[in-house]
Amino acid sequence: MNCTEFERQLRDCVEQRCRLTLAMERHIAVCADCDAAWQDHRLLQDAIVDWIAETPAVCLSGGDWPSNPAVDVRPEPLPKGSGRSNGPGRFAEWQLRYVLALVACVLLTTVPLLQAPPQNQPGSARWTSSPAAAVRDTQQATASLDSLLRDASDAYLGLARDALSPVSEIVPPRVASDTVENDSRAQTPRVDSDNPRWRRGMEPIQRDFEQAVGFLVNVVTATPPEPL
Amino acid sequence: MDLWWTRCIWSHFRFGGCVSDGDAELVRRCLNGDGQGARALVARFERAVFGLCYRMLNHRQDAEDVAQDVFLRAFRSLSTWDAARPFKPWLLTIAANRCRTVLQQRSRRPIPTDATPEVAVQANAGDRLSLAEELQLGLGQLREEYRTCFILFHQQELAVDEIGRIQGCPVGTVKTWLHRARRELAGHLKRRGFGPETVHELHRI
Repeated sequence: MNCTEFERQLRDCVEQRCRLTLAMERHIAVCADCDAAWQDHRLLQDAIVDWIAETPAVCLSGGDWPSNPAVDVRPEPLPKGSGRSNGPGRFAEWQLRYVLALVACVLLTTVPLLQAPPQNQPGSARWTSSPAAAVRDTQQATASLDSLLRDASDAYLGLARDALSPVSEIVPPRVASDTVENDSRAQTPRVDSDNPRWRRGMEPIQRDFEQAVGFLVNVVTATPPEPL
Repeated sequence: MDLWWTRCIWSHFRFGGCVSDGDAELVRRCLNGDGQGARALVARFERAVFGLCYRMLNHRQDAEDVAQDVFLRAFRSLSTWDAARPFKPWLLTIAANRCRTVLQQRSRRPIPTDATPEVAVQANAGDRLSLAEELQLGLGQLREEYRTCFILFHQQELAVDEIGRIQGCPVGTVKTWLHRARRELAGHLKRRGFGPETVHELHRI
């Protein structure tokens, strides 16, 4: 027997209120740790014996009780329809509760349906309008978006033109061609040669912001709007 | 009445006769309004109930009050007792719950001077306590679950499965609590200067 086995068997002895086995006694004789655990166990057992013996006596059934306790402290009468003795009445009570709960559930589910019908069913407010009215609403929304984008693009163009001149100072000139006159970039103002800030042979960059914004507007207006 | 005797007979088959015939008979007499039966029932279990209350609360007057309250509550709900189960654990369950409630109420209120635990008063006086008093002092320092488990096992001599039913926990938990309670109490006794040689001296005296 090893110490682990001794400890386990000692716990079993405590729980089953039995004595030490011969193998445990032999192990105690050779193991100091287990012998110390056994001495602690004996100390506690002796204390428990004294502790139980010192429990004071009491007489609750003496004069402190009423003269006829069975009458005075008899089980309280159960109300009719409840308690174990009245099985059918209790069953009926629970049956009534179940019925009431069921009615409450039905009301809770049907009343909202009657008050506000769902939108995807015939009879709702959305289905009362015609498809033409829906198309008209969509077109109005698209038109308002178009005007908004145009306003935004105009504002952005103004800002870009204001910022154009300092940027153009460091950009090399483009190669001139014959088609320049027909190009939209030819519409931009020419370089002022008298301006000492411009170097010879250089001209400002001519970015066509209107073309990019126009493309953006075309894309947005050509995209079919999602149904609202 | 027929149902009552059927349940008693069934309990004999189910628990091998561990439900005492006297307990069932006394309960039946109480339910029929027999005053002598009620007195006999109290007299049979008053020591167990009071012992549990006294060791849990460590105060005699509180223990007597709680024990009386336990019997009153037991009489009121006597019709709900399952005759297929032993009566004593059912009664001790009520007692343990009442003690737990009183301890919780006590912890929320300031302790009056006359409610100081008896052993603690003696310990403050500086006198050397006996082994049983030291054990009770150590018991008061344990967790409530450990204390209840220790008292039910060693004082009431209930089995661990019955304690599990009273405490509402598995048997393994009861064994663990019991082992920890014993270990802490043994450590308390050793710290207070008690050892095997001290026990021998005390017994010699």
